[in-house]
Amino acid sequence: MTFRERFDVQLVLTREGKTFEIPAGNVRACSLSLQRSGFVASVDFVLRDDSTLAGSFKDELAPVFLTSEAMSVALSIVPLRPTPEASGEQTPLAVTGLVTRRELEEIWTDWSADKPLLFRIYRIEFADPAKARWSKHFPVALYTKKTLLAALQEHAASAFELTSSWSVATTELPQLFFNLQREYDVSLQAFVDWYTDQYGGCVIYDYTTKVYSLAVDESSTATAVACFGDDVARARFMLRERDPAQPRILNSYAPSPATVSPQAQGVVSGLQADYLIRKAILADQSDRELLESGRRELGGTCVELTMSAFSNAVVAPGAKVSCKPGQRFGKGSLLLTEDLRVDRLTLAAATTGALDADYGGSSATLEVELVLGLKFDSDVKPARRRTVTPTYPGLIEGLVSSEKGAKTDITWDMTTAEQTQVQEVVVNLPVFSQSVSVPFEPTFDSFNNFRPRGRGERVLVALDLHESRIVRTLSFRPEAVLQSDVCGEQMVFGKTSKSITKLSHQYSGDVPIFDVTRVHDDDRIQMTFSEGKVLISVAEEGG
Amino acid sequence: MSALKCTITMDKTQGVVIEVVDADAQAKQTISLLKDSIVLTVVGTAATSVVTQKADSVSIKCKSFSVEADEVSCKSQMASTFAANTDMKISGTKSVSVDGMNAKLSGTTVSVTAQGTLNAEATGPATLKGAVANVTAPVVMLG
Repeated sequence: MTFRERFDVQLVLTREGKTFEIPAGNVRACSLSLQRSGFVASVDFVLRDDSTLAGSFKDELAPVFLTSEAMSVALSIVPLRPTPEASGEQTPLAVTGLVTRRELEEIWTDWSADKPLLFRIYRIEFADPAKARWSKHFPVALYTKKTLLAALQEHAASAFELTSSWSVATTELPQLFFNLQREYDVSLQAFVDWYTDQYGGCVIYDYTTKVYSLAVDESSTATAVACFGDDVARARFMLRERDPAQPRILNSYAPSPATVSPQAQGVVSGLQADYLIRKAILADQSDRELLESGRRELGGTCVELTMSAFSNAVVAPGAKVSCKPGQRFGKGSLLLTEDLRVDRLTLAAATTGALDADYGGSSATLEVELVLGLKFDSDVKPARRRTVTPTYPGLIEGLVSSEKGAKTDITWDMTTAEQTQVQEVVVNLPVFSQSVSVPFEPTFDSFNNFRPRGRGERVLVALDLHESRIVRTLSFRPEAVLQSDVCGEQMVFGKTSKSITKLSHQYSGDVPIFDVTRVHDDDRIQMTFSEGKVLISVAEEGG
Repeated sequence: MSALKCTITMDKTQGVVIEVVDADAQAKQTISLLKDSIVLTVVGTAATSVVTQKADSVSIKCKSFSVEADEVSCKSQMASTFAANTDMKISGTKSVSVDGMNAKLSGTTVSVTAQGTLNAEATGPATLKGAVANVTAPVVMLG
């Protein structure tokens, strides 16, 4: 369903401080897809350049258009003729964003053999600042003792403002790791979509203040604008289905395994949504129960209004509209149930006139297709979304830390986390100049072996979103290394080369020789098992 | 005093050797439990002593050998020899007995001296013979 309307279109491009105001009559087409979290848009416009024909039009944009310097766009559109119910001037639909794609087409004349240029048709695609920047941003960053909000604000820099009313985003996290390596093709924008979906929140973009906020729900405090049935061509209602599966948490922590099913409404018997965790702390298990019950899709009704006019109910997402009896809707329509909140808006507009029909004019006649996506005002819980899962873990090299003994001693250390009482080891990550805590647990050894990692041990750390663990050791301790021409193995115990015990099994020819040597400063005790021979000696080196 | 180096070597062909070395003193003590013998060796800068025990013999080689005991009994089934390259002294604070089928006391000079009574007595013939026989006493009794 389309309708034709004459619009005042304001289009301003800004590049390195210089503005280019494009008259409304030059606009050939525009499209808007506005959602609560932001928007994408495009606009086509034409600029005349007959300077080569000694004409008066010169295209000043062309010389700088096809360069990579950032370009911002401000677009607003409002009908010249207000709808009858509009009180006062109608508020334009306005967006400001950054260009994400630009192209132009040259139109040559065939008036002469030179085929002089006459027009350029420009097309720009743009998006809200966060989407435009973060969809091209692939940071790998580690944050410790920081909130999600603070971490994201670092990446927003001065390009846009980000706030939060969501406790998940304002709670200090022991660890937050962005593993958004370029080759994984998951940008910070995709990460934020994924994170907010995973933890039951959402991103809200305020189209008036241009401020983003991380929120627990999509509620809005806007005052509802009256919508009239005359301006609506069609209303479609779509059910967003509730997740029918019973969430179930399976905690495999062997000393106290648990399978818990948090309370959930409307589940279908026999259907499960299982989540496997391994948590020693009951509070972690409880948190997961809350998360799974909290982020479960509860379903709802989406309303799609195909508009037949650009009324004053055509407002950006976050605003509210009210469809009430007496406003010329179908009697008994479901629209009359309660106020509706604009969840998305899509607009596709194009002129059908000649290329220069309204050129330079202050308005444009456009054929418009306009759809409002609405949710009932009480339906504020963010719907579960299809998101791209970031790749975890990230493998980072680290050095084991210890506070015991002298700084040069290879000692092991373990700390008990204040809140969880979990035993942890601190690993320094030089590439981030930060430290993370990893579980104090064996990696591959049987539990018969107590060989904790010592200070300075170079290890491979697997960094997950909120947790880390040691994967393996990356280098041999110098005292443990045998000469390359030696066939054998060696184990080393002790904190320094002067306080050490070595167990070695080496070959002398084909004869295996097992040796235990204990050294403390000059004191040296050695027991050697060779072919039919045992040597036990106690001595002082250099004595 | 520097530390000692102590070594125990167990060798299935050689045996067991226990060794203590004092490098500063250039001394080494060794107990060797060998296949057919036990050898105790003490090496010092001035001397070396070796005790070798085999199945049929015990050998002691040293610079100075002394035995101190309440009683000492040396008995052999066959011949026994006590020899000294210089002086040999056999003494007792009470009585000294030399007993044998054929007891012989010989030397370039033989001196028999008693602080009290001297008895020389035989159940058979007794002979006193010399280039010159001197009998000196305040009272001489013959027959």
